[in-house]
Amino acid sequence: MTEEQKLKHFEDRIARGEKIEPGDWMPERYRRQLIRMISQHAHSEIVGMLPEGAWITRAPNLRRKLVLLAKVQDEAGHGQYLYHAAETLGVTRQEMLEALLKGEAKYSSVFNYPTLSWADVGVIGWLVDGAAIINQTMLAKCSYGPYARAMVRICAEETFHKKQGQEMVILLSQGTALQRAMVQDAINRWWWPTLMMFGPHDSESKNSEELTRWGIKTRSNDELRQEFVDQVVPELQALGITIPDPDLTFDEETGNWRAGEIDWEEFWRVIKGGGPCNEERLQARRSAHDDGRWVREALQAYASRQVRQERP
Amino acid sequence: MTDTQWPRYEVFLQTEEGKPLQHAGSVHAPDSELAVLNARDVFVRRPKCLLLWVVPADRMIHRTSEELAQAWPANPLSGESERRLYHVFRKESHRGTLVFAASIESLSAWDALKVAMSRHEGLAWAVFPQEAVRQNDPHDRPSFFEPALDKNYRLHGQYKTIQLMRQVEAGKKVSSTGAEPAKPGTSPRQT
Repeated sequence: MTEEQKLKHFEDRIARGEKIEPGDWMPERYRRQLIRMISQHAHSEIVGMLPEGAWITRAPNLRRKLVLLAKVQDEAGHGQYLYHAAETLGVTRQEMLEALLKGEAKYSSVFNYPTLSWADVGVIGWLVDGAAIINQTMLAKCSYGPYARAMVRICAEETFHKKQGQEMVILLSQGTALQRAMVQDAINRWWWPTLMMFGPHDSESKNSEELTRWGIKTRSNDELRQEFVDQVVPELQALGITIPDPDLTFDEETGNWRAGEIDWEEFWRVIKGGGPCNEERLQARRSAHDDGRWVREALQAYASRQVRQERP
Repeated sequence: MTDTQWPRYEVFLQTEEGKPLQHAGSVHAPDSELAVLNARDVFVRRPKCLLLWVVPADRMIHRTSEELAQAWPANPLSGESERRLYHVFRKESHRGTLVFAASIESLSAWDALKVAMSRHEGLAWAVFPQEAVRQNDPHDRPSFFEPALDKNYRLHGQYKTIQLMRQVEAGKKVSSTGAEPAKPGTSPRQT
């Protein structure tokens, strides 16, 4: 088959809803796009452990501490599922880690913001994980088998993240004046970064057409963002929480909540490294890597000795 | 940086009695003992697992049907002289993953695969010898998987958000334990 015929066959398979598995022929751009997306997604999970991880030692009671530990542990596991999926496309763990530690790899920009109070933990669970679920539910249907399967596994576990966060926000919003103020402040700081998670407007998104044709991205950024807004606005308002968007209006005709315009200057600045915590997140990953070196060396020495002992 | 590229192990899980082993993904580890531990930590944070296998990735042959249709090794038996037990997994449907198909005694992995393919249809296949498998120690099974068993707070059903929202909308007081909330003037509500 010529390259053109192979491409046609590949695109027909996707159109029929078939999964592409490791070893199947795929266009080089499909492979590269997926490596980029999946490794970024994996890095996001690992870096995403940091903002909430900071509150593990300061949880208000044991139950909340256990729940937060479980959530952060899940994020580590999700990172592992995704690194595995990326590896099936031919990139190595080493390459991906190097790119992250050198500051060359991107991860979800929402994690470049600081967690300033306990309420942030609840708000991140409800909004940030809630937004991730919407995106990941779409990706669970994507054409690349290992990525789709990782998404299914992640979605099943992520629901607990969103619900524990929502539970916390509900209780705080109905609590003391101090608790209500704390959760309102957290919403004020996390609302816009969460909306930014869905990415630029479709008109600005350069990869979209190809990603759609190849079954990787089947819904647009704006569509996903709209679904999220319609879902959370009524619930936040029912709790007496104000959404920090003076332009937010209800469109009677379509039944949608129309959000105001995102600050795109901030969006691009944070992606390019100018957010409040970009440096700190990178440094945390580098320190973890350096501080863990003795553990890796010890495990490697033990494994090598086992091999030597087994050989006659 | 080379110490981050440990050998890779493919992971297979049996999640319930009566269900076959299924491919779950892979982990990196310096040896098979740690591979089993890592696989448990990565793939079994929720309660469901009876059996866990890890297989070094380089001991597993993994091909799609499309690949096999185009290229089958010319001398699959070369270098092999003993009969061994091989496990064959196949992906049956587009939505599924590699699921255990058959254990076949054979002179080579390719021969075992050929036998399996004569009996079943499949979209993708994996084969590896029994000797390459390391599994969780059956004697330790209860305590190995026990950490996941009683941690109900990992299950989303534990968080009654729908019920709580209804209570708020109905103007009722809310509390996470479902118990009566503290009377006004007493200590701040524990959330």
